[in-house]
Amino acid sequence: MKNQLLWLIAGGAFWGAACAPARSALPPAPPPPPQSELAVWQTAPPLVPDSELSLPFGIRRVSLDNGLGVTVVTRPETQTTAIELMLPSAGDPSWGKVTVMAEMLRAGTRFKAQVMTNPRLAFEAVNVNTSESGTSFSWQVLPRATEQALGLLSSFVFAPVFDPEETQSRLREQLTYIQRYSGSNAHLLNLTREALPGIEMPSPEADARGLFKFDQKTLFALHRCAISPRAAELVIVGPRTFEQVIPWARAAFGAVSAPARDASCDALKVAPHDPEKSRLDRIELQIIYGGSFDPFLVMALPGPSPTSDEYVAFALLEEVMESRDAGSAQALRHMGATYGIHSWINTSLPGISLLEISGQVEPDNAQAALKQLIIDMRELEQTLTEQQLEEVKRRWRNSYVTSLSSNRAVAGSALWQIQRGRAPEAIKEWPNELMAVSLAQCREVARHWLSNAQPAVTVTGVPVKLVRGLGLGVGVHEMFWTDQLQEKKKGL
Amino acid sequence: MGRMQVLGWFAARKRGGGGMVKSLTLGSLAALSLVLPPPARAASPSCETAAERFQLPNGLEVVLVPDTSLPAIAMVSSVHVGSRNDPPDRAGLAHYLEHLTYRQSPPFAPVFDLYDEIGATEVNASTGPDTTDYVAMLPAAQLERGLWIEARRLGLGLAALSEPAALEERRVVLREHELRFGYEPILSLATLTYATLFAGAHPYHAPFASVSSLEQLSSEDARWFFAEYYRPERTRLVLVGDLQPSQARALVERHFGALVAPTTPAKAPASECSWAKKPLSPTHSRLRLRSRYRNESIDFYFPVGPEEDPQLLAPVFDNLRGEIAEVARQTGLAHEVHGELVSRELGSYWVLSIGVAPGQPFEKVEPLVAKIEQNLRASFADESDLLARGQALELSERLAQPRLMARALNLARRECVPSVCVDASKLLTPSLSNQVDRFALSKALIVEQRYSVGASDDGSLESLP
Repeated sequence: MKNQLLWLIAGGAFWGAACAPARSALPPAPPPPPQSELAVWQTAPPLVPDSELSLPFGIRRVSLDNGLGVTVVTRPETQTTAIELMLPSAGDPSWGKVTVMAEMLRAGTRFKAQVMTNPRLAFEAVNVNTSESGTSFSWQVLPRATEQALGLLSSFVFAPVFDPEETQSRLREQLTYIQRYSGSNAHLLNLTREALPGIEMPSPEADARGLFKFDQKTLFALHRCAISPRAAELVIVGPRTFEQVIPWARAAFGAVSAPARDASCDALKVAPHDPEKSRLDRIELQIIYGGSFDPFLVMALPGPSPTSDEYVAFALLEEVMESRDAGSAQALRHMGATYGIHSWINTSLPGISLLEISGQVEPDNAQAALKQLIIDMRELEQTLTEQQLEEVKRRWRNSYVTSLSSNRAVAGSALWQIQRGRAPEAIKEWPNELMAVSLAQCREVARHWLSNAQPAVTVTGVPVKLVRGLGLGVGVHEMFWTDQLQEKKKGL
Repeated sequence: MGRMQVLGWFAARKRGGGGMVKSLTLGSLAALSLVLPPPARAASPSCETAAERFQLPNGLEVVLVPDTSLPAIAMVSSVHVGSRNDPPDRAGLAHYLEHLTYRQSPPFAPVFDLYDEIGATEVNASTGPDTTDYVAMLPAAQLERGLWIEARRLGLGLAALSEPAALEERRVVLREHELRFGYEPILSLATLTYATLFAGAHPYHAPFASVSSLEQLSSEDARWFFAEYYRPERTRLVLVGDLQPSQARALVERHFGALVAPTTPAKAPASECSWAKKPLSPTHSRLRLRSRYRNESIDFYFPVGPEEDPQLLAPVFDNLRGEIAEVARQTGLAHEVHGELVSRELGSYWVLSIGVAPGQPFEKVEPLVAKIEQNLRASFADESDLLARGQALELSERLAQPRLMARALNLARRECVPSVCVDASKLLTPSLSNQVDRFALSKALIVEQRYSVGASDDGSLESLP
């Protein structure tokens, strides 16, 4: 028997009455305590100086003959081993050929979705992540399995099988991900980034069209082009010592050589970006029609390369904007206009950083939010105070220290420092580097990158009034949202 | 509060992308566990052998766990009140109050400013069905300031809240609701799922309220609610990190000791655990929501029985989830398979959630699960597979250990289902094959979310036998 239950039943006996016009009265709240009793909560205990930071990591790095750098971070007190392998040769601006090939490395290995079936070793599956900067392989294992894990990871990355049958099932999986991606905020972000000069993020739908043409031969050809130990970095963090781990790493990776590349590989190369050339002359606003929810704003603005001297100050400025005690985030929240607008620095593109902002806003305040975010960004040079900067620096430092509880985070930090052109030991120095940035430096960087900020902006769930009255010079590009984003046709 | 969102974005940051649009959060699983859930494999409370527990004369419970691995302390102030305490016609009040406790007017500094001043991170709060948890990661040197801030939350209450701020914050809560659950039928589905799992009169409902209900909440409601529930005897303070217990205890006594219970009598926590002794038995076998959202899913709920120890069954459930994920990947039927044990104070249940891939026939998913049940029996008889599974569990247990905040949140949990500290790797025996029937489809509440092309049945909710 089919029993149709509608809203009333769904609401249930407990809160179905939420829609009812009349509500029962609650008892009156007790009166607040007298002011004399509350005075104790006006003055906080004195602020104690932060304790000296000590990060007792043993860090050593060697280079193998094939160009692979190997860093070992020893943390005897930990109970797991984190392994990170980064190949800058395998970059991909979108969900494209290299991304898919990297995922197909799984085809023919003895991995299951979550656990390896080899009874002697049981790990999480290897996490594979491809960006423009390269492909990283991340794994966490039991310390006693470190040696075997390094051997398996080497085989996984450098000696794939690309089993034809499994490849087909894994390609179907990729197609599903791409389909879902097309309706996601990640897609919105890529659309926004693509509005910046020199940044191309091919649409995932375009990638999907050629997906099922990937056969074993194609995959091996892509593998030869993209997978190389040259300039690659391997980081191992766990309780095992440098003397133990380095021979294991040499045995696993030392014999791997860089493959010969032909001219066909050139199309896959990802050139570093020039941040100055990615700056816009005016705000580019992409309006996406369709959808029934609150407006969702996404912004992207180019910034200095992570290897630049300006980078740390630029990243701190982003933290200030994100902070609750300054600028738009607080102002908009106090207007009740948003639950949260958040920003971050995207460093997944080589040679450039992107300041990215996104959040959802009340329809009536969408225009005000957009305007305020941009003005706030432009005025940061003048409005930033010493106190704000100091608080943000301390929070960031503390957040960094807390993150180091995880060996995977330590491995990621070491890789990040290497990518910034620093030695892996810089993970210990990073808090000091951060704290040394001055207000004057931040203002200078704000002047350079933010004072005339012309971001790329994408807005979905558009309210009626957005552009008229905005008071900022914008170029408008309209699109509509169906199953996938399509350019808005005339007359729609 | 917003920080939860921030954490989500931080997670997305690693991929250089963003989170998913709202429609992806519409899973009924998310609706039922939308509060800082402890990781599925977080260490269970009784594993914290070094924990020091005591109670102040005013009733405040305190748990201290020293861990000097990092110069930081995870602090959780957990108030024993949640969405299930919302008055019947004021759904969302517990959540609204959670937001309001951050809003203070001069001369009282807002809570976020105070935390910013000491460089605290992970400042956040969440209102769950059973508790409201306020969390912060403190620099170790700033423990006293952190304690003072949380004591102030209880001591000051809403005495420094202005009416304009209360109205602004209500709009913020509305935006949060819109962001997470702008499509309200999903809330109805969550409430009906609770009603089915917790058969008979029960206090649980969707953690968020409808827009109309939220719009009627007032600061006066919140003040009454605060006086009723935000009391020292309903609060548990948990500190995990770089602390000396004797020193921390003295500081807790200094700042929390002077708090007195309000003059109104406390709502007795009473014998709430008696609920947990009742079996949760679905009275309907299947709920189905049709909506205009394309994200289709099918969730299987398996209530934990009164005599069961869910941790002992963890390997079986984990294996089931892993097998389904693998077959889903091979067949392309599903894009996502997620499973977890959801512990509520009044009962617990396993949820296995399968995101059906776009364009895939919904009807194929259930036979797939049934087939896997059969395969699992053979799997549990294979010692090598058991060993592999055991080591994976051991690894995941170890990975959970260094996370100070996860441990603190675990210690704040009040669910009545007993949890024991187990060595998961030793639980795997071939006899587990007998337990596979525990997760038979016939024992599950099945909740479907299907895409509906037509506007006429958009949002319709059915209960099928």
